[in-house]
Amino acid sequence: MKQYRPDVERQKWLYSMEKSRKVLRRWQGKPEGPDPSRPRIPDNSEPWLPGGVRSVADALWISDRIKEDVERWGPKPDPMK
Amino acid sequence: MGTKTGSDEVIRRLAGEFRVLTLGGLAVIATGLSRNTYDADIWVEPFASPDEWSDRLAPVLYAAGTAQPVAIGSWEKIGRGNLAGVIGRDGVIRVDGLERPLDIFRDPNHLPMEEFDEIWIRSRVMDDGTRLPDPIDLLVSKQETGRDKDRADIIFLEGKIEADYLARLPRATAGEAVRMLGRFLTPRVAEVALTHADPEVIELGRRFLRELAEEGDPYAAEILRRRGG
Repeated sequence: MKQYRPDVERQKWLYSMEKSRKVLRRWQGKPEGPDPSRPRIPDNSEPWLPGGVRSVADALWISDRIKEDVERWGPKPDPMK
Repeated sequence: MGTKTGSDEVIRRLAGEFRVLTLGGLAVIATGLSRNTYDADIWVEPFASPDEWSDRLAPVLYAAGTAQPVAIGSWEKIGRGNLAGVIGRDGVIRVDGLERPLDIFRDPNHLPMEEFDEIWIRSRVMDDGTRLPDPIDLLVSKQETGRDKDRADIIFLEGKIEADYLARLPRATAGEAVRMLGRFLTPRVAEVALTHADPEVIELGRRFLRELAEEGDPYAAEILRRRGG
């Protein structure tokens, strides 16, 4: 059976970007972590459907909702192009 | 659902009177990532004090149909007389009762309130009167939140900004290049900086790569070796 193996290059790249952020924030004189005195806004995501996705129709319904948001808020095509 | 006031209607009314920046998931969608978002986040100009902010926004917030301001975390309703106290304490309020929850910031956690004017100038105008922060400001707003859902946004924004930098940096004047590197740097961007005509830009790239190498970055030492740094 073919096993999933995490892409090592991708892990290296993610690690490198984290280090880059750390060094740049140090150069900018910014703290490395969030200010603990400020309220953290919790992740208020909710399940799309009670009971989860149980059919292709459910998955398509979610896809359509995302498409609606992207059409409403996403970048508009440049009329000059 | 049909009787609830639309969050975009409240946003448009606020943007008609005040300077409003779009943040959060909607801003990431507007920057080009196709993803969903549960709520809307905006940053309304901070004004001189929480009292002034509250005095100016309250007439809109408390007259907007089904809108009900609540405190983040406790989710307690905010009476009009307490709005200044809550926004001064938390820097943000939630407006519930809308078709989509709306978080309104005065003092976002990761964007300094004092830099609102600068961020406003760098932003671009949207059709609804709000403005979209430039991708680096948006990236800064997403960093250090510690939330899993922000990781995908960070990866998208970093990739977009890096591609833009790799295209622009070689042709940037020395002053522009130094300003660019002061806002965003990665090993690939630093490697391009090493090929710039200006010695100050080259030195910035080299210094960044050396510090990264000391931090254990997997690419920096190799780039320096290859480029003779």
